[in-house]
Amino acid sequence: MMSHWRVQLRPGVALREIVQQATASLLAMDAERLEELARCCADLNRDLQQNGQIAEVAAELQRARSEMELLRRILYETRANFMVISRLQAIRVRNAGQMTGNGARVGGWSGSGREADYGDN
Amino acid sequence: MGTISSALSLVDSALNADQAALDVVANNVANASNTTYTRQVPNWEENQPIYLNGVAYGAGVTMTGGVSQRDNVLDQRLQQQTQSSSSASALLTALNTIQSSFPVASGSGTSGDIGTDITSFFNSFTQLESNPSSNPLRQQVLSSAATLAGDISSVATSLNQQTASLDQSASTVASQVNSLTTSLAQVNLQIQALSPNQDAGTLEDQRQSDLTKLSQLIGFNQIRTENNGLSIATTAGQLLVSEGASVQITTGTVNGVTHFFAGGTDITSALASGGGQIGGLLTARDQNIPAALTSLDQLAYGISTQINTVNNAGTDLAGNNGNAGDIFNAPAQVAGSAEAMVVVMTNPDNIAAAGLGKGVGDDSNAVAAASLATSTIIGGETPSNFYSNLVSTVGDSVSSATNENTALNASVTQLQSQVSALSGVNLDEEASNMQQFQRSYQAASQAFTILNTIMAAAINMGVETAVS
Repeated sequence: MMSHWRVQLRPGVALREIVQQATASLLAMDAERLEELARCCADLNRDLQQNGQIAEVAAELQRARSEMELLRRILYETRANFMVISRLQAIRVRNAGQMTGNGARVGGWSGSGREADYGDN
Repeated sequence: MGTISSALSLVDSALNADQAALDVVANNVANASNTTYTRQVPNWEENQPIYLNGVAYGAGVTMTGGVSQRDNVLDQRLQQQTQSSSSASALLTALNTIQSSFPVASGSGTSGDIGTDITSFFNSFTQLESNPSSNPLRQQVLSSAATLAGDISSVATSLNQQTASLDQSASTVASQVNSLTTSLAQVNLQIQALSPNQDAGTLEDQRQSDLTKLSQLIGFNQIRTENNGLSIATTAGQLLVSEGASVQITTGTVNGVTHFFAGGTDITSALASGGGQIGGLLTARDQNIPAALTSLDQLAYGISTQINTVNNAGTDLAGNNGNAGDIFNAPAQVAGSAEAMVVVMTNPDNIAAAGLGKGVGDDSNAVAAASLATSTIIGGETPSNFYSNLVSTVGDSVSSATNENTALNASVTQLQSQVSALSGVNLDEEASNMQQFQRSYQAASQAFTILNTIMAAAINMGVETAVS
């Protein structure tokens, strides 16, 4: 049976493209696609570990280096953005609570958020 | 009577407060098209109640001024992102110019393409093999050599000119930085004197405007100090503004290029890695162009010395054995070889097509020269492959810079759109946006971690791929 990541990523889609898609999806805040990609990566990793195929993708990994570097940088930027947005949102929720006079939280967002349900590793 | 007086006082107080609030609104409207202005809202304070016969009567409110609706953390984050995207944009512009220095063969012609020149030059020796004493074929060797040398020298000259241009641009940016840091120091003094304990309104707008402009020019960190003061340091820690005092960036020439100093310390490399326009300009000037020039020098040095060596190991038409002379000028060292590359041989009879001591009809030395085309004589590569790799490296740099520039700009937009979402919708929608943001980050982080694990596994197998 064909591995999940091969099905999801379609034949011929290279690692480099996975990384590019992850970066583009992150910038577009496409959570569904990112979770799908994360599952694919988990499957890919398991396949490579179990079958010892790492050497087969070594050349692809080499080509994907600059894309990985960009993804790492955008992840860093997104985390910083997220911290700022979280802070602003917390202030607005607090202010809204004060305006209602009871200090209760407004809205359903939890600071910790729900855990993404991808992968098994 | 006292009650009537109190009531009138209360009405007077209310009217005054309303008038002040209207002034704030009018000020907001008047500045609606001012991009640096931050909207203000009136700040009300309750007046002390008046007591008559032990009974407290409310005395209304007083408007104590307008409070700007800004968030310093958000402002700082946007400024940080501006530093990154400005650097990427400046670097991309410079790399595109570098790439344009390397003409490539197209359907309309091959003029200026060094790759084509290399092939033509070595092919001219192959053609000479068929008739070693032919003057036209000998002329062709010198002609193709001159084209090759001219094009290599031309690209090197162009790259050196770009270095000078980037040098000038970086100096201009440094001057602009000095103007802004001077302005920031002055604004700091005003703010500390007038608004040490609260938002400084339009003065804070001016400070934020200066900081936004500064973030387009240079990478920096800002530190809030006492009494609403502000200090600014480069990302490597050199102080540029300390509350009311600014440190000017000065310039000096080191090894032929402009270096930048703050307080006597050379901050050039720190500026290159710090961000802002100057970061991109200095990265191109100090890293990308030198790398391309070094490769071009290697190419010129390799071809010149190898061809000269072969020509001086044969016999020419004039009967010179082993000392027919150089075809290209003999470079003393690798550095500078490309720009100085030129054909010095003027007499085609001095091309040593024949082997040492052989007759004029012999072609063995022409064969030796032609075979250099397929020999790994430059950095373990053939001349054509070496040049091809150089062009490919420049192209990859442009491609990476393009991706980075696009992504960093999108990241700024991402922040701005999220902020707009925060202030424009209800809190439930905000919560939904936040959850989407968080899910996206977590999933991307998970994918990155797994991919990096795979890369680390590849490293253990001897394949260098990891991203730190």
